[in-house]
Amino acid sequence: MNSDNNTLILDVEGISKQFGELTAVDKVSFQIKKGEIYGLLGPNGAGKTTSISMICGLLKPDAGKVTIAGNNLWADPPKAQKHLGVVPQEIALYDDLSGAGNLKFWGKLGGVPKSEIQDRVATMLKRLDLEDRGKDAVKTYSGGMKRRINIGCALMHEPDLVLLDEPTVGIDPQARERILEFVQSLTADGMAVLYTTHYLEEAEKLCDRIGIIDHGKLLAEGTLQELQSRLGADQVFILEGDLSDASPEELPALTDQFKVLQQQERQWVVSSEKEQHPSESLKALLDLPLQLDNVAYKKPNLNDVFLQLTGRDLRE
Amino acid sequence: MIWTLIQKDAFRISRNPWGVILQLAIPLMITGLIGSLFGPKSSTGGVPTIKVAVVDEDKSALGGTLLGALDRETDSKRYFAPIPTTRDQADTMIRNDEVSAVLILPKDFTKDFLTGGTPAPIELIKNPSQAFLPLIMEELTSVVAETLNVASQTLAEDMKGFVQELEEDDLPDFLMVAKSIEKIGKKFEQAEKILTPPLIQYGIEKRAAKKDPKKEKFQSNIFGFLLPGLAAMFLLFIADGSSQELYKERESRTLDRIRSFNNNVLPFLISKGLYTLLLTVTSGIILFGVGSAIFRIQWQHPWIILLLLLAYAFFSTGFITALAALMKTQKRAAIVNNVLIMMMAFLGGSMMPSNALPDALAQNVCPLFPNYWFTESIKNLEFGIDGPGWVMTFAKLMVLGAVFTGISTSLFNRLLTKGSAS
Repeated sequence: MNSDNNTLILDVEGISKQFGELTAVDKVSFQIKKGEIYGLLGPNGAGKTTSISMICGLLKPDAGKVTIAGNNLWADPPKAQKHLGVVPQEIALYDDLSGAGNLKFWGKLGGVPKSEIQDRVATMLKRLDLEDRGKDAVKTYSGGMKRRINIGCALMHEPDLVLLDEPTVGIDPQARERILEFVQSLTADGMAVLYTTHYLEEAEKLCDRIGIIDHGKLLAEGTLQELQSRLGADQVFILEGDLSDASPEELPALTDQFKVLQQQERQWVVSSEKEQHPSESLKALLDLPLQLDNVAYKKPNLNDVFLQLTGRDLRE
Repeated sequence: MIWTLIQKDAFRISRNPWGVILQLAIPLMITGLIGSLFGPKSSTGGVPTIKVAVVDEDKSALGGTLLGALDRETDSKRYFAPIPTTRDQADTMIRNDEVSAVLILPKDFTKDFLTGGTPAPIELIKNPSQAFLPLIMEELTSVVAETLNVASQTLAEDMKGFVQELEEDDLPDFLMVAKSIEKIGKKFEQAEKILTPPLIQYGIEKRAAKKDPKKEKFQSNIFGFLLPGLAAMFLLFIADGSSQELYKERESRTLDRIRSFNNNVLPFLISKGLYTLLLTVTSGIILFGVGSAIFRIQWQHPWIILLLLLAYAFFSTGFITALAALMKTQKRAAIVNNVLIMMMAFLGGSMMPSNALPDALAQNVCPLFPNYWFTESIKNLEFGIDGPGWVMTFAKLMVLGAVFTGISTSLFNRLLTKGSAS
């Protein structure tokens, strides 16, 4: 965490949303403290955007409660909403207006006094590294520049909590890196950030705590280390070969020491549950009565946690 | 918040005003087009001059009289430009779209007419590439033919003796010719009312009987009379056009972003409504102003018309916004709104006077439509035609506008906070 301040900025308690037969979000709860970056990680359609929409007051939850900076959102939405800055997944800007024009409009909407607006626009353009393009229409910007202005518009009124819904979708790695650095810098001022993504590298790199969401349910949350510790020891092995006739249940030597994260016809992913040297684990795996072509060792990542939780690859 | 939203829209329009200019220009162009065709500024005061190729194969006095009537220095000269020619040349002219119709008086036309043996065989060839001018010519020809036939049937017996005398090689019996002329003259006197074309007589009598200046104005300018109806239809289309911003802001997610600052959609709808209202009222002022210049109408109650225009624009804004909440997508609205507006225009008397519709519709259905109230109130005010009073119409339009605004706000709030799986 970038701040030792324990003030609670966001408290989400069991929010749910149903669209007909589809349960988009199912009793999701988490909290975010001042200066903290909380990542909501999950594949497309997991319920991330619906959760954010309920947290910022766009959608009314069927159940549950959202409290922002001590204000019950649905008791007095505008009062709670003034503490929020929302960066939607789409580029929600007026592309016929200039970058500065957009910053000015969204800043005024957020309640920035008239006397301060010009200074804040200039400062924000500088922070976004768009000083020289501020007067140009947004429609002339590159994808990365639009993304940066899209974020800047949510920050003009200096909110306590910023919600960023997949802000790096569709941009090149260089522009993505720039945005991640910018988001990281926000917490220096004590801002709290809720960051949704399906890129596990982003969550690993950026977030102080991560919640893993799938099919509308928050499956696990914690720091990266806490989540990785769910896999047992700090070791993951990928077994490749003809495994179509094999079954882990029939291999006690495997299940005693390892947890099977994923099982496919030609590949098993397992994590060691024993605190031992990787070479010991490797030897144990090679001794198994299996037709193996290759065994690879790697450090576990969030994808392995997701595999363990859902049996599916996050990238699928 | 509302002021910030309005400022933003105004600034966006100032950066790219062509959309608004186009919205204002289209109804203006259509009104101008209608005005240039039918308004009093056109040389004919109503319809353009109809060019008619005339083929006189009869070469008789009667044929010459009939064709000469088209070319006389009277009102008919303003409407018709007869071009004497041959059948072959006339055929070429119609193929080249140089004339609207060809009128042919065949050989023996006068003889057939005078003897009453066969109906007067006037031939008319219409130009298929023109729409309404050949129809006017056809109508006129049928009136002439009908009149001549009635005269021929009535005078057939007297004419036979008259023609025989004239065809004798010797000198005619002048006493008998004189008697025949006297007899024919008496019959003409008795048949005057039938022979005089009813349309002309109707017009003359009406003008003589009623001196009401409002009615005179209406009679002298039928297309000016249609202007309030046309304006009512165009204003609905303009309101619909300006409401497209509602859909665009929803689709681009800027509406969601605005709602993340204040999730009540009312300030947003008010700002968009004010924009639509302003555009609709401005269009109305231009339509009535320019329209009246084209049609040479001097409105007797311009301030009351402006009040009615405001109320109608308020109703249109509320109505179109409610439709936007119901239709949800721009694509669906593009189809449904157009059909609805056209239906309202037809049944509410914007496309044609409601009394031209079947009685059941005119009496029971038309008065239900707000564009009918608007149109008929102005006609009542300006031309003294029976219709709803302007005060009641103003009140009804304002109430209906407020109801639609309330409905649309409630629908939008419900729709947006409820969300959908997509």
